[in-house]
Amino acid sequence: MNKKLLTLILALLFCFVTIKGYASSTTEPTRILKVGTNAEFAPFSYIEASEVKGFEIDLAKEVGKRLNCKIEIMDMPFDALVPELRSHSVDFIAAGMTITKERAKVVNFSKPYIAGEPLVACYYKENHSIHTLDELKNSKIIVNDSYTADFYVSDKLKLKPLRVSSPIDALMALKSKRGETYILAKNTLAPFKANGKNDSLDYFVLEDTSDNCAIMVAKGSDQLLNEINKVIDQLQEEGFVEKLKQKWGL
Amino acid sequence: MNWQLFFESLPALSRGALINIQITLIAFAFGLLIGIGLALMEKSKFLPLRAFAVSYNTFFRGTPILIQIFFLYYGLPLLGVSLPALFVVTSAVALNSGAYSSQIILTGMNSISEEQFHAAKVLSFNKFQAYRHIILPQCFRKTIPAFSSEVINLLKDSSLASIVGINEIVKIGNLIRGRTYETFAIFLGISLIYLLMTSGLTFFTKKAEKWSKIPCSI
Repeated sequence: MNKKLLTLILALLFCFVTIKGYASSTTEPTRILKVGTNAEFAPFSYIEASEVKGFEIDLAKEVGKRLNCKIEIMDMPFDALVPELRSHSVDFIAAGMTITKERAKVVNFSKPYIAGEPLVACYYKENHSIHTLDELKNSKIIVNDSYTADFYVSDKLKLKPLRVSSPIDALMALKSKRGETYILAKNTLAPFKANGKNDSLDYFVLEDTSDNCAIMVAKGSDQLLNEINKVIDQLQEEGFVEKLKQKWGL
Repeated sequence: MNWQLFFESLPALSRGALINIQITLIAFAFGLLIGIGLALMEKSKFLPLRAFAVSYNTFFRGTPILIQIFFLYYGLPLLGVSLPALFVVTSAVALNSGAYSSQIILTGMNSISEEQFHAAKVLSFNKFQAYRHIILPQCFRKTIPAFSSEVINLLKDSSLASIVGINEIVKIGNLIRGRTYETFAIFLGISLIYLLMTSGLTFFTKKAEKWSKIPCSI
């Protein structure tokens, strides 16, 4: 009986050793970096012909190239980005994330590469027009859940906006007069106004709302953060970031 | 796991849950009325009524409730009819519940033997009286378990209110999540409150089953 048991244990041990040996012999030598993004956010990150594209994606790929890593883009809902990063399911987030106090408490930001991204309030001209903050405060406001504009309207202005989950829903709400103004980042609005689309959509810029965009890395991944910061410095010096901005019309 | 946030968020989440309960109860009551009407229509010998009931069921059970809410909330205003968000969600859930309830009631009715209709006729009950006093009461006794699952489903459907910006439990959870990035504390809170509500419902339906049982029956 003891002999049988011993044989069984030895057989199992043998299995583990061989499996482990086999596994280690087939792993790829290059490092893989998983990049989280939310592809509803043209021109930063969006889907075209079932492929994720955009400014952030190009940037992430370049960062990967410079760090000699393979980049794997993972598209996920906006509100899943930070939790996925914190559970280390992804290595970094490239999704046009603005640096905010709330976010900086739970993740680390790289050096910013896009600066001065203000919020705008947009509205349909035929409905009414808004030019001052007071007029804005008296209108029914639409924002997207947990976007920078939501923090601005709910927490800073202390107003109660209508919160919907994506920019497309918000524009639909604006069109069906569920609200009078829709507050969002200027760059998020850009693709909806491109090529003379939505001519009747007008906007005005909210002063003092410009924030910086950066890559997010989990707390504790200091080595990766340093590597990314070094690459961003390089890219800024070489004018790569500037070229990329021109390419995507930012 | 952030326990402090978990406890702090419970009051706000519970306030949200009240809206879910409100939507569920109103939608269930109207759904039940619609369901009885539809079930009787489907049993009717008059073809247009039958056709209406069948197409109603096909439409509401065959299309996603999410998209129905979208059409009612964003589509109708373009035609000049702007209904409040809470009204839109409650009626969408009620109209859907009507379709499902009608099927539950039909199952209940079909389980009651044909002889009881004949017996009612012999006792000179007219059709309305036969349904009102003999068929429907028995039908409800038999369908209590099925309706209990229907209410639980409605309670979960009521969270669709979040997509049109109503601050119900899931929406409030998402707002807290968006500000604190503590997903699990919030989701645990939402799950516990839901569990509490559904356990309450199950408790009452068990009571109702007991109360409506025929005395001395097996």
